This record gives sequence, C-alpha cells and structure tokens, in this order.
Amino acid sequence: MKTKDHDKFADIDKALKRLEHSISKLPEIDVTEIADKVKTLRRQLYNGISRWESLELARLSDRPGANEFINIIFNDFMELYGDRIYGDDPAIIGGLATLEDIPLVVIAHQKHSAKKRDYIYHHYGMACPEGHYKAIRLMRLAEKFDKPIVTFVDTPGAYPGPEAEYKGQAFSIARCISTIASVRIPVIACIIGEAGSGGALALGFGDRVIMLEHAFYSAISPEGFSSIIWDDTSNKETAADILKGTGHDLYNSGLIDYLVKEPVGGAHNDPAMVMEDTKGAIKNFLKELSSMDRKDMLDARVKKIKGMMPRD
Amino acid sequence: MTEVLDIAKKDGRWTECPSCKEIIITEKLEENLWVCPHCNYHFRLNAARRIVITCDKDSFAPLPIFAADLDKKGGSDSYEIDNAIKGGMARIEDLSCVIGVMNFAYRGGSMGMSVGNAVISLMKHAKMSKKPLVMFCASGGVRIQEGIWGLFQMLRTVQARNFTMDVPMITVFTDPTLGGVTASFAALADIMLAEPGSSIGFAGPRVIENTINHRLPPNFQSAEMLLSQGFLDRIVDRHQLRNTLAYLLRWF
Ligand SMILES: [Zn+2]
Repeated sequence: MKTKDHDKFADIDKALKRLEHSISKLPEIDVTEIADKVKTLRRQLYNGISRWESLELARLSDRPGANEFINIIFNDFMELYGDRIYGDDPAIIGGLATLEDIPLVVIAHQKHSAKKRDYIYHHYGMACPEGHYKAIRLMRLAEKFDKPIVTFVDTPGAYPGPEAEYKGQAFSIARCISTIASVRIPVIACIIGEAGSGGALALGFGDRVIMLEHAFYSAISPEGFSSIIWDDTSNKETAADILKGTGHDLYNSGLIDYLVKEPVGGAHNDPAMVMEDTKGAIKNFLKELSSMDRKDMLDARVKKIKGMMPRD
Repeated sequence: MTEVLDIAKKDGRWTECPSCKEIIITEKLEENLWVCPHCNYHFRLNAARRIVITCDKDSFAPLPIFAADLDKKGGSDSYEIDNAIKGGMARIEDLSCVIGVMNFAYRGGSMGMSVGNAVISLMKHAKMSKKPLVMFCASGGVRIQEGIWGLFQMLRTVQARNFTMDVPMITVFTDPTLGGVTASFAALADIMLAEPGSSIGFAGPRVIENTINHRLPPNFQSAEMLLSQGFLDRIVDRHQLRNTLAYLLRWF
C-alpha cells in the first residue's frame, strides 16, 4: 500500500517533468505563460497537500532515516549497543559522535538501514523496553560526562506486542520520558518522520525541538483514531485533520522551535538540503544552549513543559 | 422466572456478575464492596463510590480545582474535571493523605488537558501539604481527541512527578489502566498496588492481537501477570485495601 501511495506522487511528478520538457521544446510560441502555469501546478500539488498526504510522505520507504541523518551530520558515529540489563533493541540505535569538535550522544529510532530494507530486523522503529532502557542508559552516560544529547524520532509508536508487555513496556516508557525531561545537559530532539504516541515521546522532547515539515507527531495514527472513533479506518483523512500533527501544525502551536523545509515532493527528493538545514539548526541550538547558564537552561525547560497548552 | 429476573436486574435490585454470571442481590454486593462473593470478581467502581469505600467517613474534602461550582456553568473545564477525576484531602484509618481517583466511566478515564492539570495539582498539593499521594488509576490512555495536547499530558505529569519525587506516592492500578496513563505518572510511584484481575499495560489487547494475528491468553496484561513479571509490589483485595494503604501511610 505504501509503495502505491508513493507511486501516486512519483507519477504526477514525472508527468509534470515531461510536460515541462515538452514546453521547453516549443520555442516558436511564447511559452512562459504555460511554463508558469506548470510551475504553479507543481507547487499546488505539494503545498496544498493534506495532512494525511503529509503523513504518507513521512512514511515513504525512500525517506531518509535516522542513520542517514546521523552519518551525514556527524560522520564519526560510533554505535553502542545494549541496555545493560537484558538485550539490544535494533529499533533504537545510539552511540557517540562529534559535531564540529563538540562530542555528544546520539539516540534515534531506526526503521531500517539505508538501502537495506530490513524493516523486520529493526521492528519498523517500534521500540521494546530494551530500546527504552538503552536510551536511558545512554542519556545517563551523556549526563555523567556532560555531553549534549541529540535524538532523532521516526517511529509509528512503541512496539505493540506481547513480549514488550511482558517486559513492562509502559514502565519503560514512563522512565524514558522521566529521564529525557530531567537530564541536566542540553537535549535537542529532531522529529524526522512518523512520531506516534508514547513511543515517540520517549525520545521526542528536548530543550530545542527541530521538526521536518512533513513529519507527523501525534497521540495515535489517523487510522487508529478513525477505527476508535468511527469503527473503521476509512475516515483517516478527517482523523489526520483533527490530530493536526504536521511540522507546520506544531510550529504554529509553538510546540517546536525550528521547522525544516522539505523540497517539493518530500525530503527524499533532496536529502542533502534537508540534512544541511537540520545540521545548521542543531549547531545553532547547541551553541545557544551551551552558552546558557545550566540552571537557567533547566528552568527554561520546566517552563517549556508547563507551557505546553494551547495558546487560546 | 427469567422475566422476574430481568425486571429485578433492570431496576437494579439484582446484579449479574460479568465473570461467573451468578445473580447477586445488589444490596449484598454493595455491602461486599462490589466484589462478587462467588468468584471474587472486582466490579469497576466510579470515583465517588471508590472514595466512600476507601476514605474514613466524611473525611474527603475536594481540592478547590475539583470543587468548582457546577451550577455557575463556569465553562466545560470544571464539568470535565468533576466527571473525569476526583481529588482532595482525605483520611484513611485516621492518617491523612491526598487522594486522586480517575473515573473510567467518564470517557474511558482518558487523560486530556484537564485530567493532566488535575493530576499535576494533586502532586503539587501533596508536596505543599507534605502528605503522601494515593492515586487510583483507571484509564484507556491519552485523550486522543485532543491530539498532540493530549499526548503531551504524559510529559507534563511526568515532569510534575519528577519535581515531587520526595512526596511518597502510591499508585493503585484498577481495571483497566492502559496506554499513556500507565506509561507516565502512574508508573513513577514509590509503591505500586493493583486490584486482583485488573488489566494493566501499554498497548490495548485488540491492537496487540492485530500485531500478532492471534488471540491472547486470558491472563494477558492482568495484575497477576505483572506481579509475576516483577512490575507490581502487591496485588491487594478490595477488602484489604484500606488496611494496606493505612499500613503504607503509617510507614512513610
Ligand atoms: Zn462472580
């Protein structure tokens, strides 16, 4: 289903390209007007996209995942495995890296490795308790050595399976949220794709939050919302409009600090541009947070969480 | 005979146990704290009844944010809070505490902005008055209709708990407690108790069955399962709950 939805965008995009090409081959008549019209069409196709379509872009298998962001932004990532209690959860990856001489800790949801479509291995980025405990121990490591944390969020939600419940899924999420809200070091969260429910929140908060415009942050997926409220998933578009989870929505609500613009058609059409922008934002925020008095930074974090209520 | 039964069930004199299907005289059930005398099934309780059977007689005093005057129709918020969660000062075996009781009967006990605010103010009040906090939880999770604001109540209540960690907190999980409530403030208590047979977990059973494509065992996500997995301190029969809470309040 995901591939088909992707094709829909890709096909229209290709058709527009062909049209542009044909127009450019018609020099004897004045084509600027037609060319402008095509340009407008293209902009409308993506600018006017609905929230549901935005989420479709966030779910594309071609969309750059956390490890691509990490490898391009940091280039010396050393992955550290395991929760030091029970096991290693490939749905959450983490480790050490530096960003222009600043050593830091990176923690991220990993849906699949670049190019390899190993979704099953990574559980589609849906973490089990091991993943949350790995995140917690890495946050504590960062705190102990006074290094900032950068997270990347890309998950439909925490893993909804029996094994996860047997190992106390809810308890692990609560402790992960408690840790990310209380570590005494700067935290920057980047919402790059899907960000569903408590599983997303486990890594989805920081002193500064960066979000891609077509990423989708919500309490539940629109399909889940639709099936709870209307008993089947057919109202997912309406549900997406009620959930209001796109980057633009959250930016307008004051819940995120920086909105990363995506190229026409989504982040996969120009990953380098998106990552450059994200990297710049991370760098600026790191500079800003590290120059702040630590107590002031933590006080500001308290205010930020308290103020997470609608403005009106 | 069945007609008589139906009439008696309808007017509330008799109640059928959903677990063993025995017909019980409602008055007797009430006397037995809404626990089935045949199979020990613990009926779900609304917040008002829970307060009556848990607190010393007439000791419950609602906090101002819960006691908003409903007649004034002062906005939907006070109506919402009054129905979704009750909270205030109380005494249990003469020991005072702050008590909060979530109401599953109202919108599935879901946690939206007003419930989040109520939980936070209970924590603050417990800290200010230096009293332990007893939270009776019952919830299907986050209030999804509030979208991202509902989800962020998990973060807001967790932070409130982070800042009141020195306040002794007891969570009593009742049937059912799932999703964003289990996965936030409720799981950060010092002592975690549950009533027998309560469903406690993160993902709902239907969602899990969809993931694995087959039925779950009957005790899945039960208090008993969680106890054996090491996530609960004790399972406490409703008849022993006052005793147990009093023991803990004395101990703190
Ligand atoms: Zn029974």
